[in-house]
Amino acid sequence: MQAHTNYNPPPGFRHLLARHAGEAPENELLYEQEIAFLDHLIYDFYLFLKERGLAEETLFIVTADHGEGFGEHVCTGHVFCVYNEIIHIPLVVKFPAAVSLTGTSPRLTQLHDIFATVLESVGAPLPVPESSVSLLGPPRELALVENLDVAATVKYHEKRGNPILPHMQPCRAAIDRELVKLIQWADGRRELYDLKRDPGETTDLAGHPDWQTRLLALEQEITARLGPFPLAAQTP
Amino acid sequence: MTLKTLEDKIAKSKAVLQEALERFPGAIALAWTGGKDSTTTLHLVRELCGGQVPIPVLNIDTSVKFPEIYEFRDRLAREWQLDLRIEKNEEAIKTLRIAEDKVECCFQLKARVIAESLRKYGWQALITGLRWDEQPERARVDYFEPYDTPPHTRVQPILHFTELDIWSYIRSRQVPYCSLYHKGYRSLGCAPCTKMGAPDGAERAGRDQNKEEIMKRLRAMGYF
Repeated sequence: MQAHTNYNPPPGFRHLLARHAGEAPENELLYEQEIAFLDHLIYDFYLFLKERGLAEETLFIVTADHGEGFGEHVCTGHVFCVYNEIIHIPLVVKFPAAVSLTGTSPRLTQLHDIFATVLESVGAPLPVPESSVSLLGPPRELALVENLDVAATVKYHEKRGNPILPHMQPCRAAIDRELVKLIQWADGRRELYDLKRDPGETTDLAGHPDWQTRLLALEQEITARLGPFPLAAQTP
Repeated sequence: MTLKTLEDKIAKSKAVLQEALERFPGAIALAWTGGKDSTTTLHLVRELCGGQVPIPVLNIDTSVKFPEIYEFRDRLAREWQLDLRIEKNEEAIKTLRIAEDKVECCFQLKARVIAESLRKYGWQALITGLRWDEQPERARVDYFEPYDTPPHTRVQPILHFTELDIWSYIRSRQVPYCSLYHKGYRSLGCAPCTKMGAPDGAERAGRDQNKEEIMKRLRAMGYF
């Protein structure tokens, strides 16, 4: 029960979507049908909670640990890169009835925040780590993502004689509340995107003179929080 | 007495503390590291004694605690007007290679200082924040335990508290605690031998595991 390679949706979900010439590749279509199947199962479980009278008091969270690339930025799968197709994931939270929070939220969030949200929702006394920001409180200032541990997959490709491409290296990113995103690569490359105007990350602003102050500010923020990058051991 | 609720557990701890204070008047102290367990114990004494801590508070300074621990210790000592006795093994701090030999390091910087402090102040009993569920080697100890290096009684009033009980107590009484717990630490020791809480779920997983294995020997030397 997962949306994953080998992109194999079960019968009944395999032909929900029809592919037209020039549209998404076949794998992406299969992947989306896997997701449709998952949606179906999750909704089925939610109906079960409702039928049992448990939904009102349940904190119900649906999310994913990563997205999937289909060549939008050279990478396929989800092992490499921190582009949005990998890190911009669904997050659906149905709070217990006692929490009057509904609708959609544009706030910046990351998976760590689920921890603080759950603790706060159930009134757990444990201290909330600084890295986790509850969805029931003020939004986070900066979202951070690291994809550092890629060596094993690189070796896997080397062993099979596959080409080692420029994106097959450690990288990390920071996104601020204005949705400006900095990507840092272990070989020193920097990319900057204005996600509000360019959610598909098609125009790299890192070299644009008008964005240098913003680039520098994000570099300082990410270094202050995660330390310098790359570390010597991460340099490709 | 069945200890079902947090209030039951608090009552038991206070009964142990009450007995200890009556058995060792003027000759008892509380060992306070600045961590959550000994701070809870300290707060229990304070609650029991009408908002003040009427006994000396021993803090072992290994010189390599986290800065946040020192800051917390000094702030709380001021706010709660503690009779704080900071003790250290100056000679070992100068000559010892910190954390190279874990047993020797803990013995010189902690166990020996505890023993010296007991002798120096003539204390017959020492209250600690030990808990049964924290470490297997601690699972068989009792509320009052005789020690012979030097002869004294260890008083362990929160043995029955779980980690969650500690946080429930801290939250319900608004007890101050060290900011390191917000950074992901679950159990605080000296900086060179303490890491963030590990995802395997064990509270002391962030503590040096070699030392955890030799805890029996360390306890025999007077460590808590």
